[in-house]
Amino acid sequence: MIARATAIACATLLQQARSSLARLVAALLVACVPVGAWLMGQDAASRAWAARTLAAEGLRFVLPLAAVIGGAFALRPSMKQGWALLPARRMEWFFGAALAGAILALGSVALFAGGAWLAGASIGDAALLVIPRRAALAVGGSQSPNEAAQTARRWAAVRGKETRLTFEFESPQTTSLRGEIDYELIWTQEAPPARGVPFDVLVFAGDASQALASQAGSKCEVRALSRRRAAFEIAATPPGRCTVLIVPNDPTLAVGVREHDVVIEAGQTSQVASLALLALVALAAALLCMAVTLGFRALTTAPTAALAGLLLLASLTLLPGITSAGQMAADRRASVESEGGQSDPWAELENSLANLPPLLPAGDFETYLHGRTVDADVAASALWRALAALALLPLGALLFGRRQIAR
Amino acid sequence: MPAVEITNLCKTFKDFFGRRRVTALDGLSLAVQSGEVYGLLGPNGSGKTTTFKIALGLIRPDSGQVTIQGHKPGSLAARKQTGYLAEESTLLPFLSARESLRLQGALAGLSRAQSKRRTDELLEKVGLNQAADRRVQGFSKGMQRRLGIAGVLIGDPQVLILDEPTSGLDPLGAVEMKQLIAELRQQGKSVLISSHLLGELENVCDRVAFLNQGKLINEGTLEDLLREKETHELRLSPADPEAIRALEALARQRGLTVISSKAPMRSLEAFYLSVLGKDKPKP
Repeated sequence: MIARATAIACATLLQQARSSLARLVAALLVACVPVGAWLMGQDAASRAWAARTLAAEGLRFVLPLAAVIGGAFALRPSMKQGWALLPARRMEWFFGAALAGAILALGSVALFAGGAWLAGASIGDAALLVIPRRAALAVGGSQSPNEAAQTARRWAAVRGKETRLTFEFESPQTTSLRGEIDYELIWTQEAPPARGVPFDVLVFAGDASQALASQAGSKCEVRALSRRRAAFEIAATPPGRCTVLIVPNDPTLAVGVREHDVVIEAGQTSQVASLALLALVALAAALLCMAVTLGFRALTTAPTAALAGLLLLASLTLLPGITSAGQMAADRRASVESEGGQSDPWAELENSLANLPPLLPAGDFETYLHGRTVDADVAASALWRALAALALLPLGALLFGRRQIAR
Repeated sequence: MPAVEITNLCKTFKDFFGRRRVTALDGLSLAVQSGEVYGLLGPNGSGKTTTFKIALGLIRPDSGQVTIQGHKPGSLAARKQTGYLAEESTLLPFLSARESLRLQGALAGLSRAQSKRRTDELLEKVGLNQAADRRVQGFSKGMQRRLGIAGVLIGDPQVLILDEPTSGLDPLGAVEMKQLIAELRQQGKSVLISSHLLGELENVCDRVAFLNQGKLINEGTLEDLLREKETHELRLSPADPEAIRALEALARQRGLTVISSKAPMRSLEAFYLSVLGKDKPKP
């Protein structure tokens, strides 16, 4: 069965590769981001932004859309196409078509991402390396009572029990370090704040205990970005374990920071890894869309299958956004409706729909758009989507085996 | 065991709402024996193609059953035993003739070496070895037909279902196709043919069946069906006019009616072959 499905896939791919439009499409896939960025931007910065936008939106929207359309037309259950008459089972034909579609999608993504990388490299665009949160080894400071450890905000004040907040992390081999801190304030005295940013940031080599003992840290340049957000920057950081100390400097205030509120970026790196990760995410989503569309195609006509695939794509990408069960809405609703005390099945359904994992996690694409490196964790979620696509194929193949080919 | 056995086959095509639209087959029963060439005749819509589609497992009958060498249609065993040549080309246009046959060989379960050997043999047999590496899209209809029959034969199936096998072939190609069918019969293969060209079937079929509105109207050997029992044809050589007149007079004397007495005409096909010098059997 595997040999026959592979033979069908190889023949299908050979057919596609030799069609008159194949080379043109391949060239367009490679060229669309570089040419688009060159046409849309006036200077290096705007071209870099255009290149990142084209790459992200192409991977996020165009690829799954193309997978849906391609999946709808990949199978042509008619006698005229010839596959129906070959000495292979219907299931093998289905798997062969799916395999060919997956390889085509992989090739298309590789060409498109390659073009995006070329565009970035030629413009000189580079991604900022965000130190992954899991590399933050420890967080120090006094924790508020009644707060979960993961989301707890830690507090420090000039005259408090804790006079500094510590964040440990692994610093890569890099030349500069920068970061952003979102913080909260509590007035401890009846006096106005004295400074724009109520804390200093110091970076030490080594872990927290060594840092506190040595007292030989480098003071960072700190500036306010907005009302409760500050940025810090330092020219050089030694590689290896480092500690960031946030030291309140205003005696009238206590400063509270959560682990997730500290984003540390170290140096600049190539975009290849980020692009590859996003391509993987988009490819997995495209494969899932294609598997679902192929399943519909097993029973219906190509336009109906395409429509069903598009509806599914729209649902999976929009549902978490259009339901009113976002966190703020849910909190508000809970506070209003708690008096009734009765669970509403529609609300529960809405909640469960809102909790569906998005087909394409927008946050990762936004990270790339902001010029930051994408966290490698996305690969795992992409793998799950690809496995879901694989799990759907046997069902489609079974349905296709039952289909009658009358014409 | 018959190579193809069709028993009480019924099929009705329905519309979207499940209403009956066309009764394509209405209790059809027939059997094709091993080593037999069986012709299906009938006007358009008589159920020939529906019968083929059911035999290939493409559609399911409402009732009745079909077996191919004892296997259920559509099963892998039945598919391996069946070769189908459709009326229109179903070849992949961007593959070469060699690649097309290799693909069919792979699907028929041949090893790489077997597939290569059979491909070379069949390309030689159908006269396409000079065009083996050309893409199918550039082939004439006759070449596509010959490649189609090579593809049907690559897996060495026992049952061949040929829909208009000589369609698109020039007279020489048609004669070669009929010779090929005769060879297949000698090899013990069963051939089920449908054709609108009655003359084509007449030359190659052992038995024929006439279908109309999904029913079997008549079935039998060509000998049984076509023999004119009331008349007799006598051919003489050389054509001596005196002897012919004497024979005609004798017939009238015996009370017989001479319906026709003239020099026989060759068929256009025979003349065409003689012009091309292909009328003599190959040594």
